[in-house]
Amino acid sequence: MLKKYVQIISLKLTVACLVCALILVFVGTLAQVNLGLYLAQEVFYRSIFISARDFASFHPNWPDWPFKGSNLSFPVFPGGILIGGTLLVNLIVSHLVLFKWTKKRIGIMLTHIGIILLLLGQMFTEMFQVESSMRIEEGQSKNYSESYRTMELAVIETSHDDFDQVTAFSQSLLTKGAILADPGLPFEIKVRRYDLNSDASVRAPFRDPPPPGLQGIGRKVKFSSAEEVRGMDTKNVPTAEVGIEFPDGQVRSWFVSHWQTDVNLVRFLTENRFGPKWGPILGPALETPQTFAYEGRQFQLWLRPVRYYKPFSIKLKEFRHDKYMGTEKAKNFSSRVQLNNEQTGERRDVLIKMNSPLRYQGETYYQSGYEGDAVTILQVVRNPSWLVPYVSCVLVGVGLAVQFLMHLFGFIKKRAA
Amino acid sequence: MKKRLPLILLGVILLWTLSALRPARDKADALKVHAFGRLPVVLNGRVQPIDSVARNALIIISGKQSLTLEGNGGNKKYWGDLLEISQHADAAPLKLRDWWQFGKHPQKMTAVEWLMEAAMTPDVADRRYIFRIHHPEVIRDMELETGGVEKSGMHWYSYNELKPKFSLIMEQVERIRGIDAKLRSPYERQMTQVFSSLGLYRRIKNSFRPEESHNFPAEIQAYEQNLRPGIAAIRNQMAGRSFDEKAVEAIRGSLQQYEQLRKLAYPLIIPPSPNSADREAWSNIGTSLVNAAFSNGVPPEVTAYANMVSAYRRNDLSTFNHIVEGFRVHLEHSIPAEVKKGSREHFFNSYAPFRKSIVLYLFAFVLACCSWLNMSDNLRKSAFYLIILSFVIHTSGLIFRMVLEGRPPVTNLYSSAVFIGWGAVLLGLILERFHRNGIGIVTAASVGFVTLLIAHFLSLKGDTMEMMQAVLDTNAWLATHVVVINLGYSSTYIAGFLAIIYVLRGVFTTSLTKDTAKSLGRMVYGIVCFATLFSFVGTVLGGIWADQSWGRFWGWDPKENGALMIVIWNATILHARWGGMIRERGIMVMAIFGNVITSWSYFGVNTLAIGLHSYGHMDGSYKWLMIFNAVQVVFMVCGGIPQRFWLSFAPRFQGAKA
Repeated sequence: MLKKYVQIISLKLTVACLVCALILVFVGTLAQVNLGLYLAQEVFYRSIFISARDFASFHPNWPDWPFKGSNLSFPVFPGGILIGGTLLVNLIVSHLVLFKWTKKRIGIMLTHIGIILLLLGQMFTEMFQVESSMRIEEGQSKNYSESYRTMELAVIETSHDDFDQVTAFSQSLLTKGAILADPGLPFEIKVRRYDLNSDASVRAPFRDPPPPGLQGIGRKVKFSSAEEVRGMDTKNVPTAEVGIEFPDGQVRSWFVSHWQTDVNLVRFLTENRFGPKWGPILGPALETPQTFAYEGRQFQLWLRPVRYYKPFSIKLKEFRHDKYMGTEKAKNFSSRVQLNNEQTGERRDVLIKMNSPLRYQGETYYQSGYEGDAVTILQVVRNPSWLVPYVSCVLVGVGLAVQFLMHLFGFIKKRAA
Repeated sequence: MKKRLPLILLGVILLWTLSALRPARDKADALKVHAFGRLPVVLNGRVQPIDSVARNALIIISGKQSLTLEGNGGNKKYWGDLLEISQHADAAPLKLRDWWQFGKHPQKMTAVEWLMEAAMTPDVADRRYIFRIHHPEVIRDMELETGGVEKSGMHWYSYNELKPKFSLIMEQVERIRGIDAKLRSPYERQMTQVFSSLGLYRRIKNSFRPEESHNFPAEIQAYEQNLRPGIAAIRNQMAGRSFDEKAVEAIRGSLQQYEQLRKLAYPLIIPPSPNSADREAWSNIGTSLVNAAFSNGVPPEVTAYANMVSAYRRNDLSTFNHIVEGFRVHLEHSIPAEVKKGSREHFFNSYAPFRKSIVLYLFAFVLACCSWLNMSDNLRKSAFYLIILSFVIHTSGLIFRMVLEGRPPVTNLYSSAVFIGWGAVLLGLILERFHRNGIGIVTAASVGFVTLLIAHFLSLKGDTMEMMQAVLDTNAWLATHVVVINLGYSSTYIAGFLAIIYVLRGVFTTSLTKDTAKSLGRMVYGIVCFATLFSFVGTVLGGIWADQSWGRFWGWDPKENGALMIVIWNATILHARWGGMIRERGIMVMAIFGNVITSWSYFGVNTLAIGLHSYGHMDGSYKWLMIFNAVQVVFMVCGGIPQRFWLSFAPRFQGAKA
């Protein structure tokens, strides 16, 4: 009974899923123009259902498209997880139920096992892959990489002689009114404001005096909230205002912003936004730590990209940007780095270049960008299931080839007969 | 006798192609144009013969690889050299040969000849009609309606005609520069194109000598003589010591002029000096002359080119030829590999395998279609032989390119079109080998023709052997991922094309017999199977490459998604067939839709211009893509008509056939 049911339904379901997947991939690709790559992936491929509004956002330059910009949030189309999941379950069930080991079906079996592996592998990747980046200047050494998107509020205690104690609160905790506490900290932090995107300008001291109790950079630079942006070449710059109640009963507050913790953003403000008069003064001020003393202990506050610390460090010895002769066209980018692991005593030089990354301790370091002639940007990826596609590619390739060649030879034999 | 006709035809055409294999030679008493064209220079980051520089420049400026010198003037009153008849007051408007003027064989100038003229005697070249303008409003705004040379809506103008319009063009271009290249109107694109063509022409004019120079060798000699005292004097001046003002004055003018030339001169024609360690340190003539001030004098190559120019200007053939020969021998000693590369590519340019194949495919297509009409096996065989010959030429071209570049066959959009065509022809030939009903021939010929035509249009953008973007610079992945994925494109197109034959023959003719229909069905099914294999493996290999170079297997990049869509669609067809949801006709209709998806993946994603893969960016192709898709949809609708209304299956014709 079950067998018959599966036999009838399984292929139909497969075809339906494939057609849906085709439409999904198409629409999701077009939506990248409006939503940007990251958001389009979230909305279309990492979702169970897609709402009418999101589904309509796909056409880049078609303002009158129905539902566009509307708030209709009822689901109209299955999302990537639903389609992929259905395909996966369908595939597994039909193979379990209809399992028959014959020579004729070996190609199909291999192919489908490969596909199952591929789908599972991609699921694992989505779940466990961590991407971050490492920006190193020539001669500099780093033992951490930074997240692309997620921020953290870092409270650094600098009272100790030989180490700094870092307490970090992740971005998801930073909502207006939230109270952040940690046993390691003698105080509580109250989030007064959190803007996903913000703007920075010079604070006019007379027209716009800082509110009482405000400390640090916020007295000189005004951070105002800005509309959240989406898209390929844009980036949100979050800012938070946090308050701490001191033992003397006073509440002091600070602005902490990503405008302070990205070299390029600081440079942008210094060179463009602040103007020639204030730039040279406020630029360095932005990068100065905001410190305070609490019960005799020294603390710093930062809003910075989430850091992933490594048990080893990487030092950039030389960055090269080769060009084709007589042109400005890039021929190759490469970074000669020194890997320095004190735990194992390992110390060696590695050349990271295009198409030839460094794989070390479960992480892979890729040449992903550069600034000028002496700054390299490495992409750091931790993906435990990176080998799966290699295996499944072989399985499916062999499976399909076996199946079709058998078909072809059968056909030729029949013709010859 | 009749049976041998196909072989005779094959023999004749074979002779024609073999004759093109002879390396081009200069006549003993004529200007050594070919020898000059073979000389190696560097442009776009690669060593190439002057011939390639000239061809690509002329293509960018005029849209053609050679220059037509003769045509009609003044309502057919005149015929002859365009420069001459343009002198007559009543000669305008000038026109190129009309298609029915079979008797006229206008004289042509090769690209190298044109480049030599432009670089050495620019006052003549300035009068040639080379700048192509086709936008009527651009022509109107520049008040060029009465000038230039016309052929079927295209206009070509001379540098002298455009000269008075410079301020107007500049004004427009200044404005247009502020607009994103993707959002520019055809008018604006044409304006910027005219502007850049003028710039390119100016650079070519200054490639071998300063444009305004009168006696270049003498000037160089004087410069070299004055150099040592002049530099010494300048050093003294900088150090605040007393210095020889006259000596400074003597080289100042030249230095300024050569500094200007350094920015203008187009190809790098001066090879690295023999004792330089850097084999890539080529320089243009301006840089060489400026650098001469800081090193040991003017390189001999500069003098050699200057003497060539001078001899050319004096119309002194024997001296020119003598210098060119001597120079080649000199280079053979100092840079033998580059000289060899230059003559190889020169040979490839004149052999022009893909242009030959295009003609042969078209010819074979016509023959094969005729063979369907009167069912002559002789015609079918002739077509089959022709395609095999054309395929051999096509293959030889591919291999030659691979050797020249030292790369796998597909390196850019142009070469992928060539390769997709190659794969499709191969598939078509295999089909014909099995089925012998002309279908494989028609498919091979038409897909081969169309893809090579697309490649031809893509080649109009300039150098087709450009260097690769840094991330693509890996032969291992180009040879696997790119080749396999392009075979996937090929086979999907072939399946779609066979399906179109099925639908058209079935709906509009009575020629689709049950047997033909069945064999077409089997062909399409088989090819879809292989398309699935190739596109899947190609896509996953691409993912693995991405994992190697960007750190993620799959990033939902538009190009990756496009490839994935082909895989999904092919898999859909197969599963729908296995599930009994579609039969022969259903497969056909779905296979035609495969054309739409493949074209979108191949061209469409490039027009989106987002993502990591947008290196193949192109504009203006969007319209053609839409037209193509619309036609495919029409075919699908035809295929959707119930079969009892198809001419081939309609009962009354069935009766007639029986």
